Formats: sequence, C-alpha cells, structure tokens
Amino acid sequence: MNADDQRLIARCLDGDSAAFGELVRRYQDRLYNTVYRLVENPDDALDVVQDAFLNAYQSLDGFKGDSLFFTWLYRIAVNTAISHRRKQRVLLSIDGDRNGASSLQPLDDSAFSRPGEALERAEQEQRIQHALSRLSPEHRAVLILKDMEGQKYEAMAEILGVPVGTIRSRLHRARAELRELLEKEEA
Amino acid sequence: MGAESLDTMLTDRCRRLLTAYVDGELTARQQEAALRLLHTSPEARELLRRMQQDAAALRLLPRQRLDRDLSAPIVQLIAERRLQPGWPRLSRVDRRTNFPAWAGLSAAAAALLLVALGSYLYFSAAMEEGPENTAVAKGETVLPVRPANGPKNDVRREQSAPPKNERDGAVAVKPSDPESVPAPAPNEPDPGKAPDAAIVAAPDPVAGMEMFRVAPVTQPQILKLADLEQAPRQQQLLKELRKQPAYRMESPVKDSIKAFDRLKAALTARGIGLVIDQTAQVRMSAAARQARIKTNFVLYVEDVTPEELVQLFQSAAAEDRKAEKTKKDDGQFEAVVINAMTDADHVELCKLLGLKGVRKLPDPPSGPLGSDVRKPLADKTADDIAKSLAGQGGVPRPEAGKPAGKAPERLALVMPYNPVRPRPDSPEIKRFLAGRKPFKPGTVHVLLVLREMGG
Repeated sequence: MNADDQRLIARCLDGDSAAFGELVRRYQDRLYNTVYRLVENPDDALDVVQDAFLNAYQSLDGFKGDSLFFTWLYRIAVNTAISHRRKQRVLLSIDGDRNGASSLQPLDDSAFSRPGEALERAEQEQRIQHALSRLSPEHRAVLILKDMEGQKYEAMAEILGVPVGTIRSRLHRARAELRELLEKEEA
Repeated sequence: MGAESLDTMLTDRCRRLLTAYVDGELTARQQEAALRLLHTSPEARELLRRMQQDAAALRLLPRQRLDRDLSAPIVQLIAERRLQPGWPRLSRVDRRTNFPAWAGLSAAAAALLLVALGSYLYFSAAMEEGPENTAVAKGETVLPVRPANGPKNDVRREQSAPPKNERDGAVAVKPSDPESVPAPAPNEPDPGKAPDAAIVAAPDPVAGMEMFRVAPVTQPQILKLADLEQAPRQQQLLKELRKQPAYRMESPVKDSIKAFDRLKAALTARGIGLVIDQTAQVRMSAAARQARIKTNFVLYVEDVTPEELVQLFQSAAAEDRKAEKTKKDDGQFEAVVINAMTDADHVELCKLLGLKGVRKLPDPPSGPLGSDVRKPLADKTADDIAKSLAGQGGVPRPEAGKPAGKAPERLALVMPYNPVRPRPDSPEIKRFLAGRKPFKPGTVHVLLVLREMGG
C-alpha cells in the first residue's frame, strides 16, 4: 500500500479526522468519475461518493492493508453505486435522459476543428453513454473499471467481490452486448 | 458483416480469447494462441477491430470532475455525526426505505393474486366464445389468406378493405410479427399504373448528393517480429507501411518497462530523442520496478520512414534474442498489431496530449527550425533555457569535459497509457509539441502502445 495513504489512515485511526480529508481530496475525482458513469446523474453520484467516504471512514479499522486503499474505497463506492442503480433503474427508464451533462456538450471552439465535428463527437459520446446505460449494472461496472479506469482483472475481482473467472465472463458478455447495442443504433 | 454473424463464425473460446486480448489480460500462452487466431481468421481480426474501437470509445468519454472539494464537508459531517472508525456503517439507501419489509411482501402477494384472477377470468371467457374468436379477442389483426396465384397488389387491396367474412380462410397475424406480410407504404406507386409524367420529368432530388459517407475500413496486420528476418516479409511490411500516413500499433509485452528500455536503445541509435512524461518517469522508476507496478506505455513519434520502422522492429527483436540467451523467456516483443490510425485514435492522441477541443493533432508550423510562429518569442526562449538547464527534452546535457553531442532532429514522446494518464499540464508534452518540425515526404506517424500482458 502507498506509504502516504498508510500514514493518513493511521492518523485517522488515532482520531484525526482531518487526515481523512486529505484522503478524500486525493481520491474524490477518480471515484466521482466512476460513480458518475454508473449512476448517470451528477447529484446521485455526489451522494454515492459522499456515502462511500463516510462508510469507508467508519469501516477504516477493518481495512487490513492487503490491497490498495483506493481499491478498497472503490469496492465500497462501486457496490453502493450498483445497488443505487438497481433501485433507480425503473425510475430512470420513465424519466428518460435526466442527465444533462451527458447530452450535447457546448460546441468546440477550436480553430482546428471542422464545422459539425463537435456535434458529431457529442453524438458519438451520447451513443456510447446510451448503450452503456442499457447494460445491466454489473456489465456496466466491468466495462467502466476496465476501459475507463484501466483496472486489472484481479483488482476488479477484489472491487466487485467476485472471482476473476466471473470478471472474465462478465467482460466478455458486456463487450458482446455493447457491440450489439451500438450496431443496432448504427443500423 | 454484423456482430452477430461474426459471433456465429467464431467459437466461444475464440471470442473469449479476443476479449482478453482487448483487455490486455492474456498469459504468454494465450497470447500465442490469440496471435495464431488473428493470423488465420479474418473474422477474428474484424471482431478484434470492432471491440478495440468500442474500448477506445469508452476511454474517450470525458472524465467527470467534481466542481468542489468534498474534504471539508465530509470532515464536518464526521464531526457533526460524531462518527468513529469501527461504528456501524450508514447507508443512504437504507435511510430512504421507510417501509417495513412485510409491507412490500404483502403488496407483491396481492399483485400476484390479482394477475392470477385476471388471467383466469380472461381465459375462461375466451374458451366460452370459441377458438375462432380468440384472435379477435387478443386484439390481433385478421387478414384473409391471399390466393397462391393471385397478383401481389391484391393483398394490399384486401388488407385496406375491411374483411367481409373473417371466418372464411382467415389467419391471425400479430401486428409486430416480423414474418407477417408488411403493409406497403401509403405513397408507394401502384405498379400496375403508368407513372405520372410530371414525376418522371422532375429532376432527381438526390442526384449529386452524397448519401453515405464511406467509412474507411482497414484490417489490422499482425507482425511477428521474428518473421522480419525474412526478406519477403520485410518487403511486405514496407509496402503496408507506405499505404497510410499514420499508424496505431499495439504490442503485447511481458514487462512494459523492459520492453520500453529495448525500444529506447533502438530509437536513440536511430537519432530519435526521447521525451518522457513525468508520470511515465515515475512509473519507470526503480521503486515502481521493484514494486512491479504494471503500467502500459504509449510512444508517439512523427516523421519516421517505413524503412526506419522496420529497422526499429528488427533491433527490438535482436535485443530480445540477446536477452533470451542470457535469461530464458526474457524476450518482450513477440508481435505487433498494426492498424491505420482511425479518427478515434487521433482523438485519443489529442486527449493524451492534453489538447482540448482538437480532434486531430495539427501539422507543425513550417517556420524555420520548427519554431512555432504563433508562440511569443519569450516563451520559446524560456523553454529553451528550461530544456538546457534540465538536460532533457531530447537534448542530453553534455558530460563534463566532453563536447556537446548533436541534438536529435526528431523526438519521440513517451506517456503512460493505463492505468494512469499524463497530467494535462505535463511540461514534457509541451516540450514535445514545441519541438515538432515539418514532416518530410514519405514519412509516417506512429502511436505505439506497449501493453503489459499476464493478468
């Protein structure tokens, strides 16, 4: 484990909650990005991240240091996000795209871009995000952890609390499903 | 070719192998099997290309950042709630569920009972009415059977007119059934009727318009470095590399740091200087080597000739052979997957370089000595001073008592690829971009990913 993290955790366990603030600052953006992609809503993502940090703080004495602190934190956040997502699924399907941020982004003001390119890119992002949102929370989580976060199978297994073989199968199925969804949209 | 047809052509084992390839999680043995498969199967190559494209698209999704610092509110919450490590965990989800468990169960049981009762009443009513009315009761469209030798347009006439006697040879067709006879479009001209003269005379509204944009589809080439000893394979590779201006290459390696070291020797021997991003430097440090932290690296180089690339790969293969003699299985490069750079690759490169709002790295300005005429002189001068002080930026600082060596004309940029990315304000990237020079004809750009295997 990162020596710095270890030092901060030790300080937290000694009752110095400000040290936990440093850990929050260190990991909040990475955690938020993953959670945001899982729950698709900035406010929900913020809630989940906040809860994950508070839960982590309360469980800190149970952290044995066998894995990276971030992996452990991820596990708490991803599982909270997945269960949140499962509960919200029905609501989301009625509500449509609640997520303004994943919709069309402001146009590209670059001098190098040709007209319409920003729109194309926004559409492509929207297509991917839409296909991603149609996957089950478990499939979506493995794709995000692998492709967006660059996690290895072993770390993913630890985060999601399943064997490595399950991660392999889930990723395999998730990729096939995503491909199918994208092809359907393209057609 | 659709994904489904590709899926049916390849066995499940092959598809799993390709998925693991995209994930960069193959063992040495699986890697060999994957490369063999890619050599022999065009379907496998196509599926790999598509899956890599999807993975790249996911990587390109913009990273969301919090617009505030959560540390203070969280520390405040900890203080307010007097939370301590070791206390029972709270859950927002739990807080939201205010109903007792039995209420949910009772609601589910009641719903089930209602469905069962409804089904019973529905089916018993249908049975009483007789089987011939079942289709109508179900709300399905009833179409009369078309005579086997009847003209086609009769079907439409019969369909649009209400059926006179539904009992005579009627069949039930579900409206959404794909096998059912499709209803023709209302504006479709009657084939039996002569076309209107005005319509014939009118100009074709789409003539001259580009209806479809043809997407460039390229097949990845798999290059086994050992094959480069054979002259025909060299010639074939040279021919391939002359086809496109830019390539994305991926090499599965056992140890990305070692692989990079071997490539570095081959690059510098060809007068190509290296600019290594700070994050990549940390990931290559002795501590990272000792801790065996896995990192994938990406190398971007411009203005190299196909001949130089072939020599580069040959040198890497030679270094590998040398290493294998000293230590078994120490060879790093077995094969390289070569693809023409797609739009997505260009976008990814721009993101790696921290260029916002740019989809393709613009060509360097054609000013003298590669100086950027758009940049104020003071900046350039400051950069030069910083470079010479740091002894970096591809211009090695001369050793004491020795004359300064000739600065390399070209630079290759090395960045981390996964799981970390270069910082957006990386000074090395800025230095590389500032040092770019106009391209020589017949040269190519290469984005080479060293992907560490063995997950």
